[in-house]
Amino acid sequence: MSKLPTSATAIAAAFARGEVSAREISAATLARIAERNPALNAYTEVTAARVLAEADVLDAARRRGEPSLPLAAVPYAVKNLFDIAGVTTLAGAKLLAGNPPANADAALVARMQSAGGLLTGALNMDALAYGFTTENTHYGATHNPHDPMRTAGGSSGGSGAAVAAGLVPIALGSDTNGSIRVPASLCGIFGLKPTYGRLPRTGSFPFVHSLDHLGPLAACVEDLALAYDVLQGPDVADPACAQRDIETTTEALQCGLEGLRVARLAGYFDDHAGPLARAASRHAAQALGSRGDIELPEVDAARAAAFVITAAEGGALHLAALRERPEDFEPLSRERLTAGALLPAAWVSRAQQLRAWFREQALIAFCDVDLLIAPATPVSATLLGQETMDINGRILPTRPSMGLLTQPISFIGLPVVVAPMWIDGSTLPIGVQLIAAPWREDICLRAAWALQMAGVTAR
Amino acid sequence: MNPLLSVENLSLEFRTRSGIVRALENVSLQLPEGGSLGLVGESGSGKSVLSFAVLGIQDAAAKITGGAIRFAGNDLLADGGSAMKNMRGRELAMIFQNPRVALNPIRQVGQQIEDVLLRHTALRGAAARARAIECLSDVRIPDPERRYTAYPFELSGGMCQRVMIAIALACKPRLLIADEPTTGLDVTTQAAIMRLIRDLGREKGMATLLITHDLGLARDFCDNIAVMHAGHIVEVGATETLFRVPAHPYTAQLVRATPVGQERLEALASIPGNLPDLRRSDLPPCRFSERCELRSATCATPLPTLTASAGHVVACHHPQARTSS
Amino acid sequence: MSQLLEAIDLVKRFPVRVKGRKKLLHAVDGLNFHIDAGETVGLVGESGCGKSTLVRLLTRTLDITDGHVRFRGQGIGLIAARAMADHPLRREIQMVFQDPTDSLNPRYTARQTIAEAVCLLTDTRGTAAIDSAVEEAAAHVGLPPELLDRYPHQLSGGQKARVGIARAIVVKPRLLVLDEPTAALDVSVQAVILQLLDRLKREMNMSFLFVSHDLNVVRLLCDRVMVMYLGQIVETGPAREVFARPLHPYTRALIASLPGGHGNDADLLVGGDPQSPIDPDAHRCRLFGRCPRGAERCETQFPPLREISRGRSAACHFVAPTEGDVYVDAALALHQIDVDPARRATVATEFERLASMATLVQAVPLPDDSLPAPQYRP
Repeated sequence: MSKLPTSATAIAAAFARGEVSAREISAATLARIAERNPALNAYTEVTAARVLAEADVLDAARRRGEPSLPLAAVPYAVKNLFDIAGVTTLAGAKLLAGNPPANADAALVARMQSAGGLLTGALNMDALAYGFTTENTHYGATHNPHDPMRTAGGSSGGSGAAVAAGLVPIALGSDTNGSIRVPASLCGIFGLKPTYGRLPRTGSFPFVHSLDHLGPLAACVEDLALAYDVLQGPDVADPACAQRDIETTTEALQCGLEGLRVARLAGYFDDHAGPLARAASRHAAQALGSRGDIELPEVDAARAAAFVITAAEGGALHLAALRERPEDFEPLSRERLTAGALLPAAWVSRAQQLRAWFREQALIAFCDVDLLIAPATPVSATLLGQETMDINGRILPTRPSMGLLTQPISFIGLPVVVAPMWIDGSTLPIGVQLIAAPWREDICLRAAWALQMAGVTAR
Repeated sequence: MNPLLSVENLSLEFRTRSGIVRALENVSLQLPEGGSLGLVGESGSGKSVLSFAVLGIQDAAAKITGGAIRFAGNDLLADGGSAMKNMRGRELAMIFQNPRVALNPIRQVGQQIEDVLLRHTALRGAAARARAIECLSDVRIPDPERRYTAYPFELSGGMCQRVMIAIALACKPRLLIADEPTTGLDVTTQAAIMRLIRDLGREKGMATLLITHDLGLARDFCDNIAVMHAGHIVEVGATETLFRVPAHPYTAQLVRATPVGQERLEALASIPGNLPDLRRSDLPPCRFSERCELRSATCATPLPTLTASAGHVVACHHPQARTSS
Repeated sequence: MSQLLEAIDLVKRFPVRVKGRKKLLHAVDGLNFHIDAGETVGLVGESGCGKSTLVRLLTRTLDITDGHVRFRGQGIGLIAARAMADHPLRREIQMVFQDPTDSLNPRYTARQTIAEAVCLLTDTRGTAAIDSAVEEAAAHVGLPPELLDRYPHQLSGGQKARVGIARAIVVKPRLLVLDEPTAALDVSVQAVILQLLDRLKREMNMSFLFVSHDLNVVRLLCDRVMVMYLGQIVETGPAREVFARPLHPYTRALIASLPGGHGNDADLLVGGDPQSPIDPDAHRCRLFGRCPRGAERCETQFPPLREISRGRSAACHFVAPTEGDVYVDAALALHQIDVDPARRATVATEFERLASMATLVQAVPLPDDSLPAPQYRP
């Protein structure tokens, strides 16, 4: 068998040219998953029958001479909080394991399917998306492909590991406080958290309604943009989803940095970054021609407010189950959810007020710049089971602190692409956040493409 | 600056009926004036043998087969160790575990301090008595005049250890060797005694060599730590460095075996195997290699010279990589 | 969980003579506690606090002065220590001793040591049946069968500790009393023995009373801890929580004294000797004189052990529930969330973390017209 293309862009092109069949791609993908997943524990369910059936549909359409689709024959997988018809949506939780299978696909899964994608299965995550390490007591930890002793990040850790290990070129994840960006950083891949309200969440298991985002992870920027473009579009079923037209980004990538004003976020984002993360952010700033450092005000309070809102909304969502079935919750996050359910309303309300204020401050910053750079995680991947980490001499609990740098950004819904960086002397990757004003995912993707072209995102 | 105490490539054997015990091999360490060094290891690692050698009070069966011990520039092993006898009790002092046994049970504790003063100083009579009472007060014994006349059995374990320390410090030594000074004492007493030793060391500019099996204790009270295993020093470094990035696999496992700071019982490590029998003629160059997970063929070759990175030295072919962050 | 053992107002006094006058040494002074089935309780305290006496009272090798002990609902306090050897209870409560070397008979092989317990305490008879019981217990504690025919001097410290544990569990007791079982071991073998005990408690569904001076170890192994000082329990609560947030000044001092940099020096006990356990002043707090917080009131008014928050008690005038504790208890009740006491403490800790986050938020001065929720509409 000749060597098959691996990137989504190359697969779709090869399929369109008739050089490869969807059946070949899906069989090779399943073989790869069977071989490598046992060591990674990225998948909680492999939808083998579905991937083959979808492949046969595509191959038949091509034989009939129908035009090729943008993601034709591209295998992908989704975090297990997305509904997949016929599969129980776990959201990483034993709590939901007894639920009946979903009767329809989530909106984004349906869009991937209509674009020609081949769904290979559901991916592991922190229980109820509450965590940053994908150490799941009930479904096992997902291992980092770069070092099996380390975490893949979370909560979309299965998504990060599956893409980084080359099992699939694209995976979908969710990001409430950093759950796409943290695994992208720790696994060394690209991840996009779009503007709050850009992609519909219909058919995905919620965590914190006012903070939940969905988005793609991919091994290269072209694939990330390709996936993002087919995922866009309004959906009235998600009330938070903006009724905006599709704004494709794939063609814009070539524009690169043309006309972009770039600055680096300092202050909080340096103070809470370890040496490697700071080096990554400086390196990216240099590669992108940053004009200098800027600071946002009260970032630590913003992060705290995100923390409070997350616990309160998350706790409220699961209140009934916390009463009735506490034993089915993930022990690593159950008590935090319980405490969240008890929070006084004044605290939550104040946190929401701060959020509006903080958003205004960020928007003011975007009058002068188009792109902000910050590290994605304080440190590179930590060891599985590691309880604390040392950030510039402060000892912090690992699981909640991995999101210190992502949380203030998702708090106000700004679009972010994480690009992986390999700093000389480190054997592990670490990501940088490329942050733009609301609705300007194109800018994030262009900057990521520029970094990729500059050669700093590959090992 | 010259170190106050310098042990250089010291080797020591015990001749026993069942064979030669190679108790110390090529042991080197340094302790600066006023500094504190923790000598850490499991029982049988040779840490007490080393401290006895420094004091010249080792067993008759022991024979130093190589190396040197220098104190303030003087070779303590010269002239068959007579230099040592002069220093001992005056410039070098030692306290042991189980102070009740070390004290003379039928002599008042104040008199026991005076005995040392008479031997090593010119103080006599009332002056000696006054100095002895001052010594008791120095080690924060309440009501020292009254305690002067107490017998060891009338004092608690913690108080006896304070008396021991008072005796050791009576002649204002420049080096205090504390061999498991708090083993057998309660933790609250241990805390008080260790703080006393630390504070007195600072007040009087005295260097301290703390010999202990308790890595946590050494961590709290020493600037530097030397880890011993089966008669070798396997790693020496600044305390914080040694804990954050232990380089020798044995040190790393000792750190992980200590419950301090561990969150889960499962995370607690144990170290497989036992110390090798030091009478064996086929002892490998690395005496830890038979217990080591990282063992490779190179471990059968002579140990690398202690390779240093700014005061951090390790005797291992496979020093552990620094964790990235 | 059902109560396996309960102590009610348990007292042990020893008559002593001081300068020719008869006095009483209050070794155990009015203890009330229980151990649930399957529960691991740590008993922490320093030498002379009465923990060894308490162990002997519970194992009924020492007669009780006053009070009651119930085991599985039955009063056992009146069983005379002399009668204990032949009492069926002896099988139900077993001990593992501190020093594995001292507690093993040097002339018995490991097999003989374990088999002796089977012969003395069970109805198992016949070499084959006894051997199979011994080997099962050995397997349980991870003692390779080839070591069974060795004498103590041929075994390592860790192996001897395993023999001691096997001897205790071979008769399948309901309560295992462990007296400093790892104190004599090197740190390199301590972990395996602790992990072994942790596995045994889950596999055999026994209750443990784990006596130790090391709160660091107790925190990792035990569900609950009782801290003793001069014959009295001064604090109880979930082990991790007591370690993380000690209430009683003595517990705080114990933790501040631990090597490894916990707590702070201001919590250390102040100078002075402990009070004498001989005819102590009933109106004075036992820690008075050594307590860094002690006040006049402590000398004249004895602080009884009282519940501070759910599952946590302390005997000190100055320990009060925090506002967070009061709020969490009330809010849990209001939300009808029933958490077991061991978890409740973690909820309180998480709540405190969230409260500190909220404080950070409140500290930012905001204009009055700030509106919640960002929505980026097209």
